[in-house]
Amino acid sequence: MTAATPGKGAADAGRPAWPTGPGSLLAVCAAAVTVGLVATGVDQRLALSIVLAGVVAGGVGARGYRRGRRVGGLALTLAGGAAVAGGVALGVVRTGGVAARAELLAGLVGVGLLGAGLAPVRVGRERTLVTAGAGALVVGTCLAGLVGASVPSLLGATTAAVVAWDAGERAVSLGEQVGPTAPTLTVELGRTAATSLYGAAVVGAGLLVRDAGVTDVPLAGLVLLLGAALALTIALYN
Amino acid sequence: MTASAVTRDSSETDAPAGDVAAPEPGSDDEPTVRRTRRWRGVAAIALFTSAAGVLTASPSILLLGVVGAGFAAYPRLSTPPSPDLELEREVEPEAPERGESVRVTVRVRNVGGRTLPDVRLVDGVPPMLPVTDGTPRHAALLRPGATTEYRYAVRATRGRHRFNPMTVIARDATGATEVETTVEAETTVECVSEAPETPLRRRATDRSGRVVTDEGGSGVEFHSTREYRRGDPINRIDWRRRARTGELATVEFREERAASVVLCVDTRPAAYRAAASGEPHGVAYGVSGADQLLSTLSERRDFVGLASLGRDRFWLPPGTGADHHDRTRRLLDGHPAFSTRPPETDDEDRRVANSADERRELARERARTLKARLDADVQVVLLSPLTDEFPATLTLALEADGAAVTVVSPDVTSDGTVGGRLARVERANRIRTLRAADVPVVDWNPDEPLGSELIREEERR
Repeated sequence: MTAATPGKGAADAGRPAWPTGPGSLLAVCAAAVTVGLVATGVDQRLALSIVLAGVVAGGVGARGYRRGRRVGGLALTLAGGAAVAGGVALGVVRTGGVAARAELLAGLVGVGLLGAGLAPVRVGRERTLVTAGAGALVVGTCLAGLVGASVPSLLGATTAAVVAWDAGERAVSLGEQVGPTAPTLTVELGRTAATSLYGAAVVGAGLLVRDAGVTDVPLAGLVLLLGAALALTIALYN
Repeated sequence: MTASAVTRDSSETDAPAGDVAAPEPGSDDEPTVRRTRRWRGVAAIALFTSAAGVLTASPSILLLGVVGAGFAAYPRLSTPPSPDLELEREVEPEAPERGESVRVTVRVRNVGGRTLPDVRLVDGVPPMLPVTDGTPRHAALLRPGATTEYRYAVRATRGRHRFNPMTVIARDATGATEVETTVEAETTVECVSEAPETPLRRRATDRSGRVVTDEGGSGVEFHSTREYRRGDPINRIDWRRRARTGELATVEFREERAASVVLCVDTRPAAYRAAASGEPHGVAYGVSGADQLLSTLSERRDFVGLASLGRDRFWLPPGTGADHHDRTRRLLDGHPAFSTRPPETDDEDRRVANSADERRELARERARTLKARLDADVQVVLLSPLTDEFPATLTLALEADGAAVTVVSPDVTSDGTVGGRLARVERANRIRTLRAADVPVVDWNPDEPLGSELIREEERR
């Protein structure tokens, strides 16, 4: 264990340390919002629902397995995994066009990876999987921009991806530091709400930038502007 | 701490007397502020979306860079929290029977002026009390003046258990910084056992007490009679013999004297082994055992000293009286040398001793420094799980040097794995070697109270 696990005394050395339930659920829901905002077809929404159900079932099953319900937990996890695979396959088959397919595939795989990280499929790899899932969600959103999704939904989807990552990472860190059996709902709801509110403000700022007619500016000028803003924020951050 | 007689010796020289209030890592009052850097990856989103927007010449994708840039600035919005908390801990019952469940109720109040959006609490459960219900960990959102309450249960084991300070980790709203600190409330659980009979060896000081010696004098048990010498007390004259033969003779009784004992706890990294994860480790049992022995020794007004065989070579010379015993108990409870938190790195033993010969030499060296501190009539009770050769070598070296040693060894081996069975066999061999050298070894199965194990060892001898 790392330094992020303080006070690890002998009294509760063998305690469970997987990601907390409420945070995991919040993260998966935010990820589903990302995909739902940019994938608007009926078939795509159906595929998303199946993947979401699969991820939730898999998470519940994996937790049951770790709590000692070996057979039932394993069966539920496998069923969840099968549902995710089936949902992804259904979405890809029922969607026309290479870009739209790639977009949906990336988004659904993102939800699946996030769910796998929070189940967790492999202890010690939670953060990697959550980050990979959020990355796939962002890639899917960019592809949706190519297909021609509206700017508000694109901004909302990207923000939801960040919220999903934030909630997922918090679920992992709370799981390590206080464990999944401690009540963490208020902390997770409060802080996810804070991130979401800030995200809404960021979306508003993005829409303001669009309405200011910046998109009519030559692309090169916009790139320079954004590049400068980015360099500034990174400089501020480090 | 005003322990002027307490010294920490270095390996070569006798350190001068001084205060040894060494800070225990993590338990100092100064809060640690850490940057979690969890938002670092968000810049990658900004870079990626901008690059994708440029490559595809799509302004709407380029615009997504705003989200990445916005969240890169997010951690700037919050300041590090300054947790100011008040802890209240209730245990019910405070004096449980052995094995009884003790309910612990913890209340933490935010007495600071700011809302703490994310406080993570880890209660300092005494290492000898296994948690049976609930969890000593908690997370809460605390507004100014708000209180969070939670409960858990522990199973009482024998001895006096003091709660460690509670660890508090407070994160700001964005999670960019976290502050780790501790908050303390004095709580003890006392599970009183029948006083164990301390197996003392026949070696005593010149003060009267309970160790029965082989020397004649005043006492209770008959020893011998000898010719009357002027000045012998009149109540020890053998009057029947005087009536029978007319000679004056004096009755000698076995002298009973106070024992002088140094309780030496093995706190080397090797002693932090436990039978299974979640079970108390060897040092926790050693400290608990020393605490129980201290109780009986202080009741009998014996001389008690304290020493540790570990990172901190702790030494408190034997003394008697209520003050001394109180101080000894406080040191045993709170001094970092007897910390029940396993060390981060086991540098000393690893660095110095690579081969078995070197380790043996190191043990003999320790025995010599320990012996140099012992007065002729002081005996050592070594509390060690005997997880390696070191304590056994040390004991034999002490005995060879003329010191009397009794080993009390809590059994922390298990037969669940091949390695565990091997460790058990090795430990049994060490006990056999020690007993062959006439060293009393109390093989303490921690499921049993120490008292009855001590009586069993007395009977075995």
